[in-house]
Amino acid sequence: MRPLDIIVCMKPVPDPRRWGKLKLDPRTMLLRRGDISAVINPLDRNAIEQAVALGERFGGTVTILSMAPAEAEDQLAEALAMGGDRAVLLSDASFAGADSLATARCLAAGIRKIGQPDMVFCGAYSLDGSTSQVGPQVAELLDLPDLTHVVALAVEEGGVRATCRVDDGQVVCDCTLPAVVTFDKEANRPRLPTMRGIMKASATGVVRWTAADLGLSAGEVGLAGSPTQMSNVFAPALGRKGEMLEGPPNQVAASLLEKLRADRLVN
Amino acid sequence: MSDNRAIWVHVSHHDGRVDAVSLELLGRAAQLAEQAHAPVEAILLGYEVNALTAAVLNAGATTVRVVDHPALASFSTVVHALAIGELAGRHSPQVLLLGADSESQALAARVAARLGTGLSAHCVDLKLERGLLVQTVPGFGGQLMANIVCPERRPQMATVMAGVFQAVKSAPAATVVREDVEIPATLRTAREVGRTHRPADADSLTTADVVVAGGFGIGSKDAWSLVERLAGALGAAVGATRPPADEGWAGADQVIGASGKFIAPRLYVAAGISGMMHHIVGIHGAKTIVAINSDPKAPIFAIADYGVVGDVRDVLPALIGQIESGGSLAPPILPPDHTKPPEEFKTSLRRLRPNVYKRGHLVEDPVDDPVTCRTVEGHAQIFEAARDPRYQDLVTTISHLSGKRISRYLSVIRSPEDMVANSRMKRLMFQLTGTCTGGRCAGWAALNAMWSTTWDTDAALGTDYHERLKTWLLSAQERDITLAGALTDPKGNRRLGPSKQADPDMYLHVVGKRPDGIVVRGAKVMICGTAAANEIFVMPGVKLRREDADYAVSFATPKDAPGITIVEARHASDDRELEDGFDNPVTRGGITQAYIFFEDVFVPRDRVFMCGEYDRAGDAVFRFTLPYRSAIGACVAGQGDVMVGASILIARANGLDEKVFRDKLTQMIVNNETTFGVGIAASIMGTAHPSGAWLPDPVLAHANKVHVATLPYETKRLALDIAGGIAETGCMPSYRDFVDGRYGHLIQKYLKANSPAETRMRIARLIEWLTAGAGVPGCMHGGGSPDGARMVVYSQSNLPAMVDMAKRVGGISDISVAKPPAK
Repeated sequence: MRPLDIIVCMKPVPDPRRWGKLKLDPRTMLLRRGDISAVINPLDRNAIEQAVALGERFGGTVTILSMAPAEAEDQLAEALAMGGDRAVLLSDASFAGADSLATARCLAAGIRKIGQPDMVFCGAYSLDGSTSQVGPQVAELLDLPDLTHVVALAVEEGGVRATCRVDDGQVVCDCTLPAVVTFDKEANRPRLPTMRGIMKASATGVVRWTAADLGLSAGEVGLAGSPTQMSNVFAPALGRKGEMLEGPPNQVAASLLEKLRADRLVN
Repeated sequence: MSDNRAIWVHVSHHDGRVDAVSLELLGRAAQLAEQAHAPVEAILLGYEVNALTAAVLNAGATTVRVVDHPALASFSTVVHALAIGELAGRHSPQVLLLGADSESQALAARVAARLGTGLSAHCVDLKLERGLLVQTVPGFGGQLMANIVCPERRPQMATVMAGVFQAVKSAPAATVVREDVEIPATLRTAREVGRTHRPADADSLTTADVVVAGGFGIGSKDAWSLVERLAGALGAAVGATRPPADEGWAGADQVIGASGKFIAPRLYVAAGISGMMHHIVGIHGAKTIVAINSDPKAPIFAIADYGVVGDVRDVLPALIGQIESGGSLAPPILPPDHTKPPEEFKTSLRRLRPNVYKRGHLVEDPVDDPVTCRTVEGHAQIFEAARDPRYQDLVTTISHLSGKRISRYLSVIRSPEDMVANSRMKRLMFQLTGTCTGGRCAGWAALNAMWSTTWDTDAALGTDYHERLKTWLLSAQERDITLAGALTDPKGNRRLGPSKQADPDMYLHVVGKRPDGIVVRGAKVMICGTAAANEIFVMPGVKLRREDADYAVSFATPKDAPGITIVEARHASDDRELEDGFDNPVTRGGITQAYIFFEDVFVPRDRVFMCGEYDRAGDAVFRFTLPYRSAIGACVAGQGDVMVGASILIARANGLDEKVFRDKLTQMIVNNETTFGVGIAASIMGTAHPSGAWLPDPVLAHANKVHVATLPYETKRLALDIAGGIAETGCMPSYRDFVDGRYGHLIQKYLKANSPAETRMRIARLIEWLTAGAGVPGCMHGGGSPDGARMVVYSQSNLPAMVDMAKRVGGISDISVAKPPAK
């Protein structure tokens, strides 16, 4: 097998262990994500792991690519420490507020500028957006086939064989390269950064490209380049009985069962 | 503005059958089209699709556009996106809806990118308002919904999960229009080579009458079995939120919510589910919702019919047990009158204004924050013990003020039996938590010291301090507060008294008196358990002179009173508390010691128990030391018991019989029983004070303190001697290394002895924690230094009587051994 050049798209997301601390900005009604620390989107770690493992096996380069604010350098450095060879951060004030299409457009432009790889890897979805859209949209914009929700990927002469999770089972697909592949959690167990990797990461550094570097106009990126807009947020009415039961476990279990029996919900 | 261009629904199909979601979308499209006077068109792609076409003729569409082509025989996002893009270019629909299953979702994403238009995933409602498709999606991470629109680009695209909308039957039948699309043979795409289906019964979730679902709050894969057992007992299907599926506790097909299934059972039980909007939207159809969660603020309670605040690991077993036993219940333990359930204790801490800092970080939620959660859990075990029939008699007592059963930690110690129970309870709490629960004990000793001191003050001066203390204590017992005790001042230059210090704030003092109370300034330092406390009981830490009158002050204040700032001390290996795994051997116990700063804090009059009575300070301090130094021998004995157990375990884990270490283990036990026993002796040999307080014997109590400052260190030395280097210096790799994918297996291999590496490492970390790490209580200086205790032993012992004894026994009367003159 020849060496493989792989680009992994990575998104920083609010640390899920801290989601309980997320608060709304009362003015914009948007979440104040800056309040809690960011981490690499968990499924993107699976994508990074897969790329680094393939790099170890076949050689080639692993490039980590992210469209994010400047603080994302921390997550890119972590991805380098996991074994990425280089990191590119697409960062520009005009990128803010991007929906999935504007994000995909920006990533596709970054990939074109880096140079066509053998594969583009993504997490199947991000924890905060969970739309699963960016991967296939990058594929469409680059005119590449996509393999989504991959739980196992085998690289063979002339292409890949992927096992993809679908709602009612699994589908096995063959595909020639280049292609875009998005990964589910079952694909592998991501490694932790090593001390050597961390040293190497700080030596490697992160390349930063702006909208101008990518040749993208203001109308193509960020909020302005996003066809979707949020019109309003609202708290839906969620009226229920709301009866709270208190006491030690045995007692509260007994009174709950008594009520459910009275409502004829359990025998 | 309205738009009467068509509303399109992409018809997905598997194995020759139209997917339910497509029929549901056609149903919704028909409702939307009615107001907009727009046609509904079904878009059906495939090869030899006549039967499929027939299946959508009466589903709400006015037209079915069919592309029948061999290249569409199997599903491909590339080919299908090309075909849909081609048709959309040809007919310009205003709306295009697709299913949100993973294949349709990828197809929708490609089509949207191809057409440069907007797409919302996993919509839970769709409306058409003046040509604008309003797409409702759950807001991320919160309790809000967001409406998304796509004002400029067309078609407006959205995907929806099965179960959100209802299919309809329509007449007349739709017109079928065949469309030709050119699909280049050179088009590169993934090629399906095989497909496996899960068994059909795996989808029982959407049809089940009863569903039990778990969230991240279940905590572990092991605990997940409780969800499955409860489901088994109720004959229910098992569901999950997204995080348990991501953790691998549940399958991806069990996820309920916006990106999972929509369910409508008669009974839905949400266990350990916080209730994020992503999940809530999937359970609206449930008739009755039961929520079990330890956080009373969890949003799931807002939508529950019945809410249970409690740990799922306690409540689920209770439910399972009672359902399986057919409802014949063991008589429930009656809760003591005035002791809170542990959850209420935690809630009371959450309600306080956050003013505790550590390493530059403000602790906003002391129950969850890694800096404080261990000590809070340790104290929570006191509340659990109060409800446990094994311990209730020890941890609670009858209030002599109200006759109600209350926490022993807020009682007045009135008899030798009360003092013995004090020692036994402290030994128990160390056995349960491995360490000190100091947020209750120093405050208890302090209120007892002031109980007798205020009585004396009032008797001498006609003041009303004792009555104030009684009133406050009654309320404290009712509220079952956790009361930290604060005596130690910063003390500045140790040669100088409080009023002689260059900085007058080196001892806490009164800076202002008002008719309604006093204002105090200063600090109390190294105060144990403050993080788990509701209130702080302050009293002097030293004997005072006339010029120190402003420093003679005692009061009880809420921990979060304005002007109070608390900075937690750092302790051995506290960085560990931010890590995962068994490097943190104890999760339900831990020590915190705080520096409490009082910047002109107002204390209402009825909470002030000493103000200026400098000549009472010495008595108060002394009476604090008596119960405290008697019972501290039981504290270290309780920790010593855990050390004996851990030493035996490590010997076995190393492949040795513990009998090899018989002498050392015996010495450890002797040490434990010595400090415990001397404390019991001090308790029994005490005296009654006219206020009703029982004062343990000073010489025995302080002799015990000297033992406590020496013997436990000997016990730790012996534990480390038995345990070897992996415990003594914690000399083994971290938990992170243990689970590392590359070399963890090497650690697991080479740290294995008679027991697996994990067992051995857990025991060693526990011993390290007990002897050298974060679990070491301050038994040298806690509650005063051993040298101070030695001074009391010397001064309180009846030395002249002992001299006389010796003279009498030996027949010695020479004048040369008479007491030397004072210098």
